[in-house]
Amino acid sequence: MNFPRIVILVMLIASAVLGWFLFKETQRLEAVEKGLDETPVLANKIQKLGYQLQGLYDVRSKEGLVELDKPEYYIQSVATDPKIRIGQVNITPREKAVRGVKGVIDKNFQIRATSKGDTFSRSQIGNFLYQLEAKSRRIRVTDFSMKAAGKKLSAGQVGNDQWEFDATVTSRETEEG
Amino acid sequence: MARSCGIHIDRDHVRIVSLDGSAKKHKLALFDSAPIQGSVADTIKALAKRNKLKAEDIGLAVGSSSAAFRRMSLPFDDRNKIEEVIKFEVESELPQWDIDDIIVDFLVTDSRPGVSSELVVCAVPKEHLGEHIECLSKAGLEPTEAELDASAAFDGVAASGELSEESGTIIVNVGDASTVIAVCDGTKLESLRALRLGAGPVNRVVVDEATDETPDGAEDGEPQDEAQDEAPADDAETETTVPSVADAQRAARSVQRLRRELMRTITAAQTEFPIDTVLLCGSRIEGLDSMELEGVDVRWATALEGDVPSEAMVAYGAAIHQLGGGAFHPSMRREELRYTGTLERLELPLAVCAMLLFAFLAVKFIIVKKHLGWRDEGNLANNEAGDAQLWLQATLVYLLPKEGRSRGRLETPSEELTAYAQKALAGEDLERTKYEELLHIRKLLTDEILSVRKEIGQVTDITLPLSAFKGGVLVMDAIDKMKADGTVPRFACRALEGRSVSRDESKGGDVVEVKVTLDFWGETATEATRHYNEFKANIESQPWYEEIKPKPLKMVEGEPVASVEGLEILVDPSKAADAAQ
Repeated sequence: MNFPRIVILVMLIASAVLGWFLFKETQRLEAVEKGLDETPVLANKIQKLGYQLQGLYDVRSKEGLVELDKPEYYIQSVATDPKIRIGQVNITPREKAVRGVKGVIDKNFQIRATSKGDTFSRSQIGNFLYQLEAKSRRIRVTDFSMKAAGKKLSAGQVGNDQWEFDATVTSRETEEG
Repeated sequence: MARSCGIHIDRDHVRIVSLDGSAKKHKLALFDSAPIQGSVADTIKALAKRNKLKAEDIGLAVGSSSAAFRRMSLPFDDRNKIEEVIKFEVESELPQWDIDDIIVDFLVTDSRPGVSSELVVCAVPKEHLGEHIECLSKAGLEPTEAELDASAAFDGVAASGELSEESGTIIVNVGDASTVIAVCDGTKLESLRALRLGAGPVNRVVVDEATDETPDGAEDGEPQDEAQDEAPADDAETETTVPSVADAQRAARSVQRLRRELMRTITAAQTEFPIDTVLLCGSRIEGLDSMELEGVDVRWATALEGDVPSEAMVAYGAAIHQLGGGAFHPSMRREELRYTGTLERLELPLAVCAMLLFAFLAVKFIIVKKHLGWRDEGNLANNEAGDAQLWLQATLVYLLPKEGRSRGRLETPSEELTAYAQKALAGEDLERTKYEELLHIRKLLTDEILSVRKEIGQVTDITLPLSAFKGGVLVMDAIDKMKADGTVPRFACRALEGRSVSRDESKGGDVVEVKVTLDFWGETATEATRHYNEFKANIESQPWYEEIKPKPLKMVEGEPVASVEGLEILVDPSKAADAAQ
């Protein structure tokens, strides 16, 4: 093996290796150039996503159910809302596995007035049940009962729009929570 | 099967022998010869064309008319050492030449390993050898090796099996301008000698038949082509040869002189075995094989059972050498006449090209690297941010909060996002380009958005139960609208219940069971009943309606009131949402 042959061999091998790296770097440069063309749009999108995420953080922090992780507190907070004025309610929690769906449970909270004779207007009860669902997307009123307050009305009798009620709200979750 | 070709260029003739096979076992593939007419190259070219000769493994043997042979003893037998000293050692023996103007080769005739070696040194002017090589190259048959006819003739005769191991032999190769005498002791070469005596100085004269004149420059006794009768047919038509008296006399003189030389050689030979045979090869001189040498047998040597005639012995020997055979390995293509194949000729330009290629790639690599630096990350150590890095920095400045500055888009970014942003800003993500880092940040944001949306229930994989409250509202809203449009002018609700019921898909899926106790007033009992029926019909026409479980309608005695207790209506609130959309 003479000197020119050694030079040819070494240079060709070195050129092949260098060529490979050059190819990769050129590809990278092309990707960077292409990326830079699209970067303004991407940066704008990131800012929008930032806004969106912050908005979701705000929603989350306002949801008592999530923030405190105590549904009872959430129900009480809705019930005692000055615009609803149901007042304190008795809440009985209960858990039940969802039939046919493995690993998912229903957390039920039965809501009753603290005193048996407490009566409320239709709008109070309606508002209360509506707000329970509206303020949290994780809760559904799955059972409710409204009966005209006082002595049982017979057919054809009209009450004074005072009602007794009880309701059950359900939060369906995975067993891990 | 290997093929080799030996070409013997003498002063007036070219002879070609081609062999197929190996050094030990081969057969004659081709023998041809031609007198040199015009240039040597043209003659060879014509021969090659005639025989469709290919330029592969060609060995050249040249006449010894310009060569010199010397015997020499050296106190070592290492070939490399001999190569190193041979020119220096022989320089004083060849005062007629400048040592730099000649090619010196050697044949090791005897050696004692590590102790000494006996050599026959062959020297020939580079110019003479170079001309012959040039001729072959011009004819497209560049030889890979070259030698003198002496060594080729010896190995040709040796390969023919004419040498006896227990007798002395003299090989006489008669060339056109010189004759080589090789003395053999058994099968070993003892000595070599070249005489300026050949068959060349013509024994025939070429006469132009048309003019009946001697060709220009051709005089009696001057060198002429001796074998014009072997010329191609075209030439034979216009020329003919006639014997010359002078040539006959010259031949007789040559035989006489050769006989004297041989007698002297036989007498002076210091061989172990007595010389009993003289083997003739090369050009024929009339009367040569019939000369008397005091009981020594004189005959023409042939090879391969006569396939190779005596005149082809030199070319045959050269072909044998090309097959790797023979006792010697003569090599006269050395120094500036060294054989260079296609690769050898191209290797220097190729080496330069390879270096230029490497240099080009290296420069290109540096440029791309620099460009990449400017466009991507830049040199963060020197606080020189690239274009993409600037975009990243600006994006994160507006996205993330920073102490002592107005708040960013995200007041409380996740730890993962914050950590990755810091890593990207510091240029520590070596796998991604800056654009890819921005894409990754976008992915982290979208993942976080999805996670929070799931957390707050905007997106869930779990199907929530139906809202019983919504089911009750749908029923009551329907009857309320009937009151508003006068279809049911008066009604009263005494109780309302709702319950979300989970059912299999085969039974229609989940529903809300609404149980309502209603009273309907009318002008008459019939009208009250009609109002109830219209209510039922209205409910049944709703998109969310599933089923009504009939209950008996009671009429209040003495009042135009129709009453139904605990009327069960199954509704699907999700269909109400779909219908609304």
